Amino acid sequence: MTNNAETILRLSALSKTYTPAGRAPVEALSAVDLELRRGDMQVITGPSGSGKSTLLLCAGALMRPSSGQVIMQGSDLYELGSEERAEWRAKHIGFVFQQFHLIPFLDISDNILVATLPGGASTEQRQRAEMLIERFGLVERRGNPVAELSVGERQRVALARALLMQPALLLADEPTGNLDEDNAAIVLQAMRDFSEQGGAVLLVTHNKQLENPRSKRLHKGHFVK
Amino acid sequence: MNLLTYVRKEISFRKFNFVAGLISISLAMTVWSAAPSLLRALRKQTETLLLEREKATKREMLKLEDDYRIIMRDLGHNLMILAPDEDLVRLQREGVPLQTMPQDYASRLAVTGDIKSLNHILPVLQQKVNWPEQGGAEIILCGTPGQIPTPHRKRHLTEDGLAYLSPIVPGIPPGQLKIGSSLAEKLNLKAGQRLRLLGEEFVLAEVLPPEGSRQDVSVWCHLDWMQKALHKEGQISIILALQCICHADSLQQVSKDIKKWLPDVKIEEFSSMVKARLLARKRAAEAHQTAMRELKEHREKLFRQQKRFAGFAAPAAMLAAGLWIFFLFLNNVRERRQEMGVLRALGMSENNMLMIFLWKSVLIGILGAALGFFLGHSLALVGVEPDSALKQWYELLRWRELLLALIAAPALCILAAWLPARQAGRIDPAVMLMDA
Repeated sequence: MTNNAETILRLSALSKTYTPAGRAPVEALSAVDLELRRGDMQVITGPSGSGKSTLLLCAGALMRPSSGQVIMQGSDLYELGSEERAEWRAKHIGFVFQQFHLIPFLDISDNILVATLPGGASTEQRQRAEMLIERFGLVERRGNPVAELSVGERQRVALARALLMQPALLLADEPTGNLDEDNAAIVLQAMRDFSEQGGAVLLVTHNKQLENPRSKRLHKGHFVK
Repeated sequence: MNLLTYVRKEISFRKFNFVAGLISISLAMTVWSAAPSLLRALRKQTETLLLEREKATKREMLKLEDDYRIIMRDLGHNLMILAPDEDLVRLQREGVPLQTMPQDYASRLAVTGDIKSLNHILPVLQQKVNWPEQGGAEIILCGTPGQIPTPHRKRHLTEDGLAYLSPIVPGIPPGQLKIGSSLAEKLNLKAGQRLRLLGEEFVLAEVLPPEGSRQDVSVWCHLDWMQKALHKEGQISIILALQCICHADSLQQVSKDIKKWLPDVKIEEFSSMVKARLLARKRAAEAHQTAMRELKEHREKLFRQQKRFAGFAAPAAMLAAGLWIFFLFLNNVRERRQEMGVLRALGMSENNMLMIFLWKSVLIGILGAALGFFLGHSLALVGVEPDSALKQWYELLRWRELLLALIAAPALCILAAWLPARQAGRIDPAVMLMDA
């Protein structure tokens, strides 16, 4: 593994074993290695239970691995304390989920700006939020509560929220799983644009249509060919 | 959008949760603030009541005084007319007059003067003597012929106009004595017994009732005998003018009327109804004070009972509200687990998660305190009698209590929301996102 300035995320020998009470341990990830550089859009496919989500949560500083390292831009994320990791996520990592996870009582603008809590958005962040609203075709729905949005619109809002803080890494868990073709295309294109602008994308999905020559396939916690 | 705006938006989204919390803390604060307000209202009402009673009593006392003045006017004063050369200081010291004046002074005053304000004229010869037949006991010997009728009171006179039909001071028939109670007791004398005085034999007609005055050591006899026995024929030492029709203001006028006929005599007032009036006033004042004390005690008892109740009710209400808010926040956190997980994933700190709930609890507390405080005071106003001097809730307001409520209620809410808020802060975003 190289460790140059272009590397945004490096997973080294990452393992995660769940130990449910009263049941046998389950190995979700087993010595996984992965490196993402600027401009990469890494797609990882695999069936349900293959360890995709676990990989994403470990990579996103949300779940401590049983062993191995998650190095992002030179920092070992699990060497950081809980609050420092949270701050790291806020500044450097964007998340997009299959279920969108928008805040139901906020409108589109506020759902995008929720990433600026607790202090509130700066003028620059507001301008960027406006730019994202325009870019994702949400101008006319700006003041609407999320309950009134279509599924595609919701995912575009979630994507805008993930991109607001200009993260270095975008982690996407089945981002097109609930979308029609048009909306899926918009979301995928936005991710490609993000990586082309110097970010790195880690996308996990069970959808084989999203596979590309650089895609990796995860099966029972291992990358397979 | 800052944290407070976020909290405000969540509140307007989940109104029931907020309103339920608000109602509970408002009710608790209503009880909390109503209790001291009610006590204060009671206290104020008591003070007003006592003040009103005090005023009413004062009015009654004034009226009583007026009544007594009228009674005084009807019943009159008792005057003592003394010889011109009588030394009043010595009279006070000795207890009996030392000088005498002609007996016809009395007739001049009663018959010739016929002063309308004088009702009963009683000439008396009075002197301290030793009673040799009773071991030389010192007595005040008083001799009187009985009342001299005044012509203007003719309807009270006998047909010949020489005596009263029913005199207020009956005369002492010759050969009889009347003895004061202390003297009778000391000398062991009983009414009806025969006895000797200065060599003369008498029948003891009556033992006079005790008066607490010099009369209790006096012996009354007929004037003629006494004048003769003491060699003071035609002399008297006092003219008692009893129940003169006058009141305090016109006492001077009576004196002036007397002086017109007896210019050089000395006039003293004694044992007048003023004393009775003073006594009556004292009794009335004592009765009033007793009534006021009983009223005060009753109100104090009521006050203590309510204070005891308030001492239990307010903390109980606060505890109940605290528990209710705890469960509301627990439910709120459960409802918002996904939201909390997302916020945590987006990088919000544990402390900021905590603050989302604590700000909400503070808002519930402040609004609840204000609302409860207003309701409590209004309730306290309803609790007092409608004719109370208290008309507006803010008359019971104490700024310090409001300030305390505005601190206590949010503090209670923070305390109640603390554990659920901590729970929210500790939600594992990974678990939540995987569950979703």
